[in-house]
Amino acid sequence: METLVDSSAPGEGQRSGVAPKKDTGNPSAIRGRPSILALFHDLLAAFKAPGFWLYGAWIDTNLRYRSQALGAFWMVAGTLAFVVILGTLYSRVLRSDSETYMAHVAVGFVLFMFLRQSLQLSARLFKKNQSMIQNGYVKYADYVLRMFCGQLINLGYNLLVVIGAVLLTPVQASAAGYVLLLTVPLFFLAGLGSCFFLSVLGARYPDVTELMQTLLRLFFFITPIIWIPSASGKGAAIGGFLYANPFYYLIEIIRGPLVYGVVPWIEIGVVAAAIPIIWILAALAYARAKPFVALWI
Amino acid sequence: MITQSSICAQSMHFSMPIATRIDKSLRRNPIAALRNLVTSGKSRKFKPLLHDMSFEFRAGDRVGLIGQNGAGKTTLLRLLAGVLVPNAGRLEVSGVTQNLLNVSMGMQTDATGLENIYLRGYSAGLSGQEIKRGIPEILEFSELEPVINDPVYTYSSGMRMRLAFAVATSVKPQILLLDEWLSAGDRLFVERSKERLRSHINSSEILVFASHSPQTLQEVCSRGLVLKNGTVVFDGDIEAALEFYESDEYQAIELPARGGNRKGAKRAR
Repeated sequence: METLVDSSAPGEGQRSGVAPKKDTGNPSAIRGRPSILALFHDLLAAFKAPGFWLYGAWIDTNLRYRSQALGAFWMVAGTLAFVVILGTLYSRVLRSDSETYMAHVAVGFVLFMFLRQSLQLSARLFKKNQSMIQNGYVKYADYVLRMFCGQLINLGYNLLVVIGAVLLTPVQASAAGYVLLLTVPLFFLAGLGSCFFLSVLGARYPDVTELMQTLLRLFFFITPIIWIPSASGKGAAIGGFLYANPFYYLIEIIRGPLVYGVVPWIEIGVVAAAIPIIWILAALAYARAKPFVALWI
Repeated sequence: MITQSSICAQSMHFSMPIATRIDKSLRRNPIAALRNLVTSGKSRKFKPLLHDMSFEFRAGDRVGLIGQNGAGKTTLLRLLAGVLVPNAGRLEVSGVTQNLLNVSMGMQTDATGLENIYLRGYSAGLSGQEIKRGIPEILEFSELEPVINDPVYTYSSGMRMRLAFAVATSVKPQILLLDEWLSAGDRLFVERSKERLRSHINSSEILVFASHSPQTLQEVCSRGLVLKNGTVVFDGDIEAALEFYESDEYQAIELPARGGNRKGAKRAR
């Protein structure tokens, strides 16, 4: 018990970056505005003491399925039904001659749902945790990590469906698969950065929650998830619009190597270039918002 | 290393931005409607809640916050907890704090009591080992052992409070911030929690406690800070502070003039 007092473990009262510092000559110190690095400070602190958000993510998942007879199966049930029914039905409707349609749908759907859930939850994240924030737990990074981690658990279960679909379809393992070692971290980095940005934006502007819901529903249809961009050019009818769709890039960098055995260098380049931009935006928004989040919600 | 905990505020101001709805009718006021797109239909005003607060709490101080409703007790506690940040002036808090500002305090009501102990413990920066070690003591104090594996939504508000209080005080914080809800417990629990507060607050610790109960304040606190309309009007011995609060003098204090309010708001920007 004593160790709490001794250790530098961030307790509720630790508020590096927020509290006005001793230097009173500096006006920004009086206002208590954190530096632009606040996000990274908080992230570092969160990774040093991961207990709260790891346990929180586990408990969120656990609670959701605790009272149900089938429990965790419900996490995959929706995906399974979607992939199986669409994989068999739509491949006929679309007269897709591609044998890899099932894997295409499974990978696209699971990744998109992961992004959709994370982004949607981000927009109302601080509002949801209002009572804890008002009580003094102001390490906002922890809330984002808790939510993101919970979604990762969900994604982990849904990967079972992906693996099943990939095994069922004649996907040839190729050297392009090694690119996944690069693209999977890129995918999550971009996702987490966007979550941070949206969580702040959603706290300040409540309309963002609704906007995200509408946008994400729309993006489900204009992203090649249930349809396949034509083999020659990318996306037949939708044409160039495909390249304006951020979800296309994020999904393609994983689906390309995994299902089609190709390395989508352009898409990887775009995502890699976008990540610093996303994180800088997130850090700016986070630093600006940190003293005020409790007031907004 | 145990450092001496302290709280120091110097001419601290705090204003809360309040959103007031503005006319949304397109017919009556088309220009406002355009502006509403940007301001989401609200105009922001600053309402000063605390002004020109200066005080210093040293290790060993058990401070009672006294004042009528709306005097700024909860706002002050939130500032001390780091939830809110002063707009002007200086506030320094050194020491690990534990806050009990609302009863629910982020408890996950569909999780069990035990899971909530872990959640609270982790959020206080403890490791899993440390939490495990503290559990018997928490169970003993809160007397919730038989129901600790039941979901918290089956608990009465008194039971929730006992759990929250036991967890928050088990980590022996340097600074403990309590809003006035201790009084919700039954008499036996209030007695025991007072006892616990007294024994926990040793020379290296600070307690800030907002309450309306003179008896509790007298028993727990050694120093009183009387607030009125966001300013400190009395700071001193708890007996004297309570006396001042109940005297006509407190009622007679002039409210800060409107002009003063505007000044506070200006400073906030």
